[in-house]
Amino acid sequence: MGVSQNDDRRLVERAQAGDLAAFEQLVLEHQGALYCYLYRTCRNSAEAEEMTQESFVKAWEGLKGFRGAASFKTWLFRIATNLCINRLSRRKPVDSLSEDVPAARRDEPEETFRQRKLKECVRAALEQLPADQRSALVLSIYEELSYDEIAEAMGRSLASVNSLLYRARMSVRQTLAGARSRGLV
Amino acid sequence: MSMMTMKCDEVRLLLVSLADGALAGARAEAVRQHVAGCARCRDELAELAADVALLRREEKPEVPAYLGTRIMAGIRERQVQDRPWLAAAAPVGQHGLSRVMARVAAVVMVAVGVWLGTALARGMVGPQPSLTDRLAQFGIELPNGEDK
Repeated sequence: MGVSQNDDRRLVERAQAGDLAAFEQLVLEHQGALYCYLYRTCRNSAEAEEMTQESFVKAWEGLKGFRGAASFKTWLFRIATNLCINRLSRRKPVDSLSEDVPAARRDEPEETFRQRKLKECVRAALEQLPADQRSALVLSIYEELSYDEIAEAMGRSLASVNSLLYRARMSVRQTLAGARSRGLV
Repeated sequence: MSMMTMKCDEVRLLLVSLADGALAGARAEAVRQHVAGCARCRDELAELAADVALLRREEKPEVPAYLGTRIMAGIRERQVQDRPWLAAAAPVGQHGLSRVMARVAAVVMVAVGVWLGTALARGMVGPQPSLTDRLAQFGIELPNGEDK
């Protein structure tokens, strides 16, 4: 077990005894990664903030039930994933990548324009995915979790994660291939 | 499935796992051997890697500076919703209970003070009048030396 997981374990024990300050240390440690995961999955900063807060609130309320079989981070991400998938599943499907190449704004630095095009392509690639495929992909690509950790975070079997990631990557490949052919990236 | 002679259709299903480092052992070796000798599968593996590289080029989202404060405020708000008496106390900690007890003590003291004041006004407590004084109220006088 690494140093940070040991620290987490000690903080969790104190928090389970009612020490809110200890839980606040856990919040400070994990809020960034959790927010980034939720933002990349839902692509909306206000929703990501809301879900990050709600995930930690649920974690605090359910902390006495945390037995430590998985790491605190994995357990936290599982709470967040359930929240996120439920919310995204209620959303209507979004349009695919716009046919128009986003024009550069006046005086916009080239790198900024390039990042904006890239962001648009990534958004389109991810938003076409069903919620569970999107979650699995973000956990794999950006959080760099192993398949076992993704299975734990999503409450799915390893075979299910394999399937989710295969389908997600094939879909993303198709979207990005279209973007490349149009010179967007 | 012969590990030495995998077909493209079989290999393509495993390329994502291989690229993600989730394939191990003899299976991984068999896929690698196929890819080494198959331009089509090799190109597909390269495209998968390029997709990941592209996705990772996106800038990391900026985490709001106030997020931690917002999270803790949400937790404290939920605590108050679940236990309304907490709203009258300090945040959970060593001083919360003593503050509640101080308020309870203040209420008790006020109640005792009201009772005492009422009792004094009715003459139920405080210095009692002597027998001579009490009888004098009814117009009765005791002979000298009998006020006991």
